[in-house]
Amino acid sequence: MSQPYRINGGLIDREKVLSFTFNKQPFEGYQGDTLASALLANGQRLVGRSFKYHRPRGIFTAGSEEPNALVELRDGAYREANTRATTVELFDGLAAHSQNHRGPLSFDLMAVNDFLHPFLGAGFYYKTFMWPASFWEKVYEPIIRRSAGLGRLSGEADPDTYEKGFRHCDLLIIGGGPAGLAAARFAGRSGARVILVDEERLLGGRLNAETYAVDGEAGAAWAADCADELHALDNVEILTRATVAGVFDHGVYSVVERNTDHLPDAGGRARQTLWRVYAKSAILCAGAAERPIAFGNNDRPGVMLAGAVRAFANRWAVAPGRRVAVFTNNDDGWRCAEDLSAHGVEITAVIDSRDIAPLARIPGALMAMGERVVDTRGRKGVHTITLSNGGVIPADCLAVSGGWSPNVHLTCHHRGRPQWREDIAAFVPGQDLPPGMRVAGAAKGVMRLGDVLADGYCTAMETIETLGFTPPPGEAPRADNESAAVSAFWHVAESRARCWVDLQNDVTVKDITLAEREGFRSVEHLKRYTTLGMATDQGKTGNVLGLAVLAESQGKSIAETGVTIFRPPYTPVPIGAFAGKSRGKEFRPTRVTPSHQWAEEQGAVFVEVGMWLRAQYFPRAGETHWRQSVDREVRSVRGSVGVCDVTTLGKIDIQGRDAAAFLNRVYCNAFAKLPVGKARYGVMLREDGVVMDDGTTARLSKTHFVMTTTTANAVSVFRHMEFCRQCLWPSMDVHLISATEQWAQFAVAGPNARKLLQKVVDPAFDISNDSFPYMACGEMTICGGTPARLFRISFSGELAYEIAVPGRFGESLVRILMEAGAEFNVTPYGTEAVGVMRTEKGHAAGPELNGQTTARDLGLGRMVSKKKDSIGSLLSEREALNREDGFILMGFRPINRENKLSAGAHFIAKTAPATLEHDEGWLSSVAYSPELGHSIGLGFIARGAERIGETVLAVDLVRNQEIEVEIVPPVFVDPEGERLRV
Amino acid sequence: MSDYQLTARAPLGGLSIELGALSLTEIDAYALGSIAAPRGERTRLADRLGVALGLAMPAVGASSLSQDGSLRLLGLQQDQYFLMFKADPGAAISFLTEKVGDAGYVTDQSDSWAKLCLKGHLARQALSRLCMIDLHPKQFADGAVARTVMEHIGVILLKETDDSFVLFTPRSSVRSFVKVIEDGMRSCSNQQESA
Repeated sequence: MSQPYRINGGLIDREKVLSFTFNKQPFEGYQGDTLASALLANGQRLVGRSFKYHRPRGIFTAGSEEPNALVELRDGAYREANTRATTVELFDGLAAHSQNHRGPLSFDLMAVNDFLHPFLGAGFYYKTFMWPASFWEKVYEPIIRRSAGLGRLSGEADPDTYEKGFRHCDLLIIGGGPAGLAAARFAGRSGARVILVDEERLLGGRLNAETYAVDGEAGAAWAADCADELHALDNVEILTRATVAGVFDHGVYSVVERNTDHLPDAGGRARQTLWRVYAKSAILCAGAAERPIAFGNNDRPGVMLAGAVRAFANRWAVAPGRRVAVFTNNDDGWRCAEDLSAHGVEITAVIDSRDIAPLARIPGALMAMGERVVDTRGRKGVHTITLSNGGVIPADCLAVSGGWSPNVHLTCHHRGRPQWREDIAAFVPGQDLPPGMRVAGAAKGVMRLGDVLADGYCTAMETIETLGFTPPPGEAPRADNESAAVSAFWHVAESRARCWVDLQNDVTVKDITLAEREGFRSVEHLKRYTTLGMATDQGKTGNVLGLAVLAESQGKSIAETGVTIFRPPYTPVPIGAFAGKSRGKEFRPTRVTPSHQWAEEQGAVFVEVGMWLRAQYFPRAGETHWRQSVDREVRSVRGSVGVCDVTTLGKIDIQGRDAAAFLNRVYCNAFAKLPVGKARYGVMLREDGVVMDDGTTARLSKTHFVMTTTTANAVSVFRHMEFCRQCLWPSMDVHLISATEQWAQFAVAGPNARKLLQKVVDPAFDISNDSFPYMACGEMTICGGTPARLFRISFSGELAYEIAVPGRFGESLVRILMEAGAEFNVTPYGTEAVGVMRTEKGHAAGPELNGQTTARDLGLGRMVSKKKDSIGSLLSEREALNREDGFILMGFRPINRENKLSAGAHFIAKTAPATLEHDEGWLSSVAYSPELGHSIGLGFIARGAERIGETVLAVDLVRNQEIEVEIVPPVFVDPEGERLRV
Repeated sequence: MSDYQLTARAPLGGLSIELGALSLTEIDAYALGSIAAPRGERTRLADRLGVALGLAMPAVGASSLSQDGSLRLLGLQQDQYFLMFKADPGAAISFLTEKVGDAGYVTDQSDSWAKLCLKGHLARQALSRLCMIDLHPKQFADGAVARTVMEHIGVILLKETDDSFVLFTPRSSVRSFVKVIEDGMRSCSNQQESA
């Protein structure tokens, strides 16, 4: 018979039958079921194996606090381990697998651990795997790693997508149970912007699991009415299937919304959204979680929390057993017996640890008052229970209630400490709540429904008045106050069998007392030593029980013992949700230059430079090695003309009456008298005298300059100058704005550069050597009137220009330059050729400007003007930065010209050993010079300028290379700079 | 007459995307220029803009619109404004120079930014996937302006109406930006469909 444990009623849709599999066995359930309720409806009590002892385990709760029923959900790359069956909404085609067993679930070979339990107590691994030391990594660690953990990862990349988002509200209400709904309805009616978050699909919380009435109607119906009203309000946003995972500073809450976990297929939607909610205030209405009582063999499938048992019966129309016994220390447990009896389920006994008169008449049930359950029996699930009076009661389900613990977790995320309340035997939120947070309902320790509704209502009123809204008319919803008396009763001392405290981590009463005996007396130490309260459930059911046992063994009160700190996340969050879109190639944005598409058409190989993609080189047919392409590009530039996209260099537009004076302060060399129509190379120092960046700055008018920076430092230089402008010299009339993206800029370099440009520059502009000499700049028009800027500057050492046009013309310009330059055999060149040519010319670049070198080190010491003050100039005079034996940028060439230098090699005297104390400097950049026909390098070496002609060893211990190199001047090609000025 | 003629290309080539009730369109017909007030001369600049353009100087985070709707001045930071106007981007600098004269420092920004318009009644919800700013009408009125970051990309955001937002984003990374905004649009549209 299908679903033999299904009973009448419930909030499920019996018209919609859903098929699913558990361990490949087909089952059926209904729309509205969870995986847990559907498994129970089909009589599947055994759903997994425990962490350490591999004991059979079943479903223990009906919510997100579930410690036991962890399954692997879905298949292939979509497989997710340790999913709580109680939170999984059933869908058609769902595939779930039990986890943590070798062999079939019903015959787990690792269950041998259970027989070895005397040797596997708390912290056994700290004491066991001591010797021999040679076994630590080779034997013990692999064994422990194989045995540890529960579910299996798929081992594949997560194929789902995730997103992040931002929401804002006046009031965030966390939890849509009776307190949350009462608060949300009141606040919603006031006009305040409200966000209501609940982890379930259905608002109502325990109202959907109980049989209480609110305002004269069934609690679940009242909740549905409330939800309808809230949905209709524009100022209320409702996030269901969403969990507030953490509380952060400044009223920021993280909320994980599960968009598609309840669907067979995500259908292209982001699986989950991690919302950052900015809330002016919040009301925590997270309710309370029931806790167990520790007694012998209390972990068998069929032993469940009483609130969960009646939730399965009332909400999901499932009887968790045919013969149910109830063991309670409080009045609430009796409601379980009453509700199940009303559903026609046989109640075999009600065992109350309190010696009081029975609270209800349960037909056919044994009333065992002042008694305890000492043991259970049953191979794969409970079959009978044994009482303290020796009686043996048949039961295939034992509903246990040890009282309710308010869900205070989120109140502790700013390190607030909960306080113990003896009257309800539970921790309640302390005084030091996160700013703006209030707590209402069961989360505050208000345990009776009538009180809960009133508390939610009143807390909302208090909050919205604080926010400045006018309370709307109306009254708090009404309900009867059920009895909720509880006596503190934690574990059955006379039980001889093991009594489980934390089901997820297999922590028993004995483990806790052992830890206490061994000196782990602080709750935080106890947690680490025994693993109590760790893993996916974070001890939501077992923590307080564990603390009570610890307190008892120490002879202290629970208040004195205290509680471990709760930290985010409240429930498990997939790593993918934290990453959002930041994965793979989309980890960061990609920036492309205006000529990118054209370069792609040329077959360019691209290199990532920060976020930019730059053409590295342009291979041609027949070239089989990048060096062939790069050598050709260099030869073409030096022999005729080449074009390179240099748009990525930072461009900063600087205007103002004090612009020249400003530049004079940020550059270490003089800029105040730079004539209009001229560009100058400038070096910028940090305050400590170390070089920050370099580049050329051109003066377009008396009050207008354009600065170029290196690609890497474009943002940091702009930020530095904004700081100078706004904070250091606010009285200066200077304005900065980035123009990096405004202009598409190309270097046109080589002996034929001018001839090529003369074909595109409009005839009205004379760019001859006389009219437009080296370091000239100017605004002009090209190609019949398009505005452009031309700078006669050179990084390659050749006759060279940089031409800039508005970005939208960039792609067109490069095509025209190629077309117009065909007669000169114009060649596009990439960053590798740039690197070769600047190394040949001894120009410093990124490897030299490494944040540790000064202008003096770079051979630019004379540029630091002493006739003016500028940032860094004073501290650049420090003695240590000006030692005679300091490093100087020099050139290096291999004695054996066949040798290939490698950057990163360190210089060692020929006779000295390659050790740190003999280190004389390092090789920062290397290249193969097509012009010279051998490898060359730039590097820093002590007293370099005095050592020209000396031979040292370039030792590269990483590549196991040792090359004799000669120290030479850093400029290898055209040292007089004649080519620049022709 | 030059033998060569340059052809303009919009950053996205005139992109237009429709997803459910949302549309994302590149608006390349607008020119964009920055205007900075010389130190101590904000009033002179305000007077000049009032006379030359008929525009009031907006506060930082706000904008002012000309009566015919062809010009909008955005207050971006202290003493810095962006003028957005319907014109060929090539005409931006001459227009700005003529109108502003020596009362401010102008810089052409037409090509610095890709300009996009997100329209539709779910526009705000789509942006909530990317934008940390509270765009609720009570907090972010029509005409409000903000400089912000969405998925690591700088954005200037202008709200025209509750269902129309203009976004300026750097030209070089605009394709990455379109990808993330499209994801946001799709997410909203899917949610609407499945609701």
